[in-house]
This record gives sequence, C-alpha cells and structure tokens, in this order.
Amino acid sequence: MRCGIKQAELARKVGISAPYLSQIERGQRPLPKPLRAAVAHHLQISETDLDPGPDRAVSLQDAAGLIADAAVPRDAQAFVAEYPRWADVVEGLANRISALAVEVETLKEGRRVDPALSDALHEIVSMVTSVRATSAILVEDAETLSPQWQARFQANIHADSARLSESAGRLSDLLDRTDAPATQALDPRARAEAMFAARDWCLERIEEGRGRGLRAQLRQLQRHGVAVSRRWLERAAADAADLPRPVLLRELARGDALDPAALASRLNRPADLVLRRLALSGPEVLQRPAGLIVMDAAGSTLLHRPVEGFPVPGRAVPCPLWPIFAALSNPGQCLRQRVILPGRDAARFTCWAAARTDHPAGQAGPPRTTATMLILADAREDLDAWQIGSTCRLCPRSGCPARREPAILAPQTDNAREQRQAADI
Amino acid sequence: MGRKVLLIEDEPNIIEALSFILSRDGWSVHVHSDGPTAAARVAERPPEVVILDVMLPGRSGFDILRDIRETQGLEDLPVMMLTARGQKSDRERAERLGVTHFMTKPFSNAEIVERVRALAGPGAAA
Repeated sequence: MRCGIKQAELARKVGISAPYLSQIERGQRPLPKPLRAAVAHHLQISETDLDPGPDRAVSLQDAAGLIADAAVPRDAQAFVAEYPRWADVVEGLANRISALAVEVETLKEGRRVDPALSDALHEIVSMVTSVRATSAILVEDAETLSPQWQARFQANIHADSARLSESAGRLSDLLDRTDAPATQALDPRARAEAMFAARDWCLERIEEGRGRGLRAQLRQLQRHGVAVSRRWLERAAADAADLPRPVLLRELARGDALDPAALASRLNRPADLVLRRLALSGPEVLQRPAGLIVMDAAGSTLLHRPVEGFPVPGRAVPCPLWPIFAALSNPGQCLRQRVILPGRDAARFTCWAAARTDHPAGQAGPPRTTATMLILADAREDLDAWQIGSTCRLCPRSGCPARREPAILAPQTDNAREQRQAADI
Repeated sequence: MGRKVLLIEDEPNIIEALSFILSRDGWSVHVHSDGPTAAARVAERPPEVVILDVMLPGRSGFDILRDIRETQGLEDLPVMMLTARGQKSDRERAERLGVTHFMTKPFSNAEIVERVRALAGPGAAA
C-alpha cells in the first residue's frame, strides 16, 4: 500500500485475514462499515478518503445517461461501494459506447464529405458550367460571333465534354467502390475473387490432382498471402472432380460453335457446372476473355470474374434485365441471350445462364437456388439482343421498362445514339 | 478601357467563356490562375470586382479571400465566389470570411453579368 504499511500488517491490526483484505482492495468485496474507521485509522487517512470518490459516482451517472430510458441511480456512490466490479463493468461499457459513437460519427462524416467524391463532383460541375457558358455564347451570339470564335468555342465544348465523360466515369467508380481494405479482407466474396484472380482464374493444382491438389493449393495460396476462401476452394475442387478439364477440352473439340447446353446434355452434367468450368478451368478452354457471375436467389453476387465492357456493380443492385435473373426463374434450364450494354461503344455479349436448386437442409428445409452466368464478348449484330445496363443508378438508358430508380447521369436516348452513329458514318 | 474585373480561376474554358461575356458587356477582364499569388495580385492592382473560384491549385479560394480581407484597403472590395460546392457550411464559411456574393455552379451567363454589375455599383458597364 502507498501509505507505508504492508497488507498483512494492516489486516492483522484491523482484525481480518490478509486474503480478505486483498479482496477488499481489489474490489471483489465491499469494505464493511464496522471496519472503515479502523482501516482509516491505521492508514492515517480520513474515512471519506476510503470512498470511491464523487468522480466515480458522476461517471457512473453519465454512463447510465448513455443508455436510453435507463434510470439514473439515486445513489451512485453507494452502488460503487456495494458493487465495485459491476461499477467497473458499467463504466467500461459506457466508455465503449462513447468510443463507438465517435467512430460512427467519423464514418458518417467521412462518407458525407469524402474528399475524393467531393473532388469528383466538383470537377463534373465545373465542366458542366463551362459547357453551359460556352454553349450559351454560341446560341445567343450566333449571328454576331466571328467564325474564329465559333470554332474556338466549339472546340472548348468538345474538350469539356470529353473531360466530363472521364469525370463521370471516375465518379461512377467511386460510387461503386467497396469498403475499406480491412472490411474487404473479411468479405467472403472478396476473398473468393482474390483467390481466383491471384491464380488467373484457374486453380491449377486442383485441376491436376483433386484432393491432394486442394490441400496443396490452399497451402500455396496462404504462403502468398492471398485471403483464401475455403468454401470456394472446396467448390472449385468438387467442380473439377465432377467435370475434369481433359474431358471438357475433348468435348469442346467435337463442335464448332460453343454450346454449353449441348455440352451439359452430352456430358450429363448440370448446365451451371459446365458454365463455371468453362470460365474457371484455364485459358486454353475458351481461348478468349470470359466473364462469370455466380449469384444466389436473392440476387447477391457470390463470385464475379470480370470481363471488359460488362460492368458489375460492387454493392448496388444489378440491372434486373440480366439473363441470370431469367435463369433464376427457370432452374434447370440453360438460357442463351445476346445483350447490348449502354455507352458510346455499345458493347455486345452473348450470355449463357443456368440456375440449380438443391436442398442442403434436406427435404424439410428451405431450397437453395444459385445461378451462374457466363459472359463472352460477341460483336455480331443481333436484332433480338436485350438492351441491358449495369445498375439503374448509373445507366443512361431512357425509357427502360425495368428502371427502378433515376440515374445520376443524363439519359441517353436511342435517337441520340443513332444520330451519333450516323454522324460517325 | 472599361472598368476592371479580376477573374481568379484556373479552368481555361471557363476563363475564356467568362472573359468573352464580360468583355462583351464592356468590362476589362484580367485573369489570374495561380492560387498562392492571387491575393498579392489583387493587392498590387485592385480591380473593381473580384470573381474568385473556390478550388484553385495551391491555395483554396477561402484562404485567398481571407488574405484579401486582411489586406489594408481591400476590406470592402467586392468579391464574388464561384463554387460547385453548394453546401450550407461552405456558404457560411465564405460569409464569415467576408464574401460579398456566393454563387454556385453551374450559373447562367446572364447571372454573372448581372451580379458583376450589381457588385461594381453605379456606373457599371451596361
């Protein structure tokens, strides 16, 4: 003790055991009133010095105040004296609540005034201002403006429009970005995609040797610091076992045009399995860039292998016109659909989508449906191609019957695109 | 030569458009695009009106405004701030620093001309 008397000696003088005194000092037992005077005397302090202190009582009342509808203790000092350990717990909880509140406010503030987002918006508005001011001059001074000034202002609009497009693209990327890296590391989808992307979307060891390959692949990935998704690793291994790459390659060599539905039928395998194997067995299978989306029945993306020109929103709800959603409504069928994405280049793709339902919890449990969509770039013209987007908020299509919410970008009308295409010719 | 307005802005096409419309209205438009030296430029040859963008390289428009207001003789110089950030906090900040008028982008050409005339006071270009 800081008063210069040892615990054993004080206990002897007060008439209690040293272990009992130790419990009192550590707050495990209250100091009984009959002993207060004796303890204070031998410590050469006043009895009030033995109290937990008004600060402790006040902090406890403050702690209670953090909890809505909590009755503030009438005598916090008595509570602290009687239940010191519980008082510690309450104070600890109060401190935690305060810290979390600060963290939440910081996060909210950070999202509200995100510097990158703010700068992107400012750049876009500045470009819009420039275009507006310049175009107003061209219109209002059309009759008096010299040809040199006309050409100059038209060039300015052209340059500003290009910058505006770039800024809008950066803004959409910002809006579409995922959370902080720490959160990504915990996100199952991010882990799975990191695992596949690190191996160029083909887990070679699994392709080579089934069970042994699974463990070896796991160790290899962990050595390289890739966040490993065991669940997807096991799924990839099961898929590879069910449809080995050599079998797939042999079947593909039999036909000219890619037909996953026919493959599934010949191989007597589920169509969704065939689609995953086509995308995740290595570059020699399809010999061209391929995208893949695996989704659950709620529309949550479980795995996404990107392909250029087919943007997939990170967290936003995808376009409801994707063929994968039609597949979810028709489990067991393999659907093929040509699609066109919006934009100046109007990227075209052929999509194959299939969904499968199983019962992991048995017949009495709920069914589980997952869908897989393979995406291949295909520039051929097709009048029956569906006009789709990535997500409503970023889709410029006007007149879309499936639009859920307004877009942040200006609408792109079909007439406007046709006019631009005609001008390019 | 008309009355002088100083445009403190770094976007070339905005400079060109505003210079055109203000010149057309009879103003002598001077341009300064460097943030750190903007306040000194104003003090060196004070215009009748300053049009000041908030986002400038090297120094924010708010800091430039503060520098101007802290310069003897420039406390009442009409300063119009242009900003894409229309948040209430930005407006309040500008007002605390002594802005004469706060205009959010995008604006119309007519608004700019009308406001510059109003800030310059009687005898402004017509």
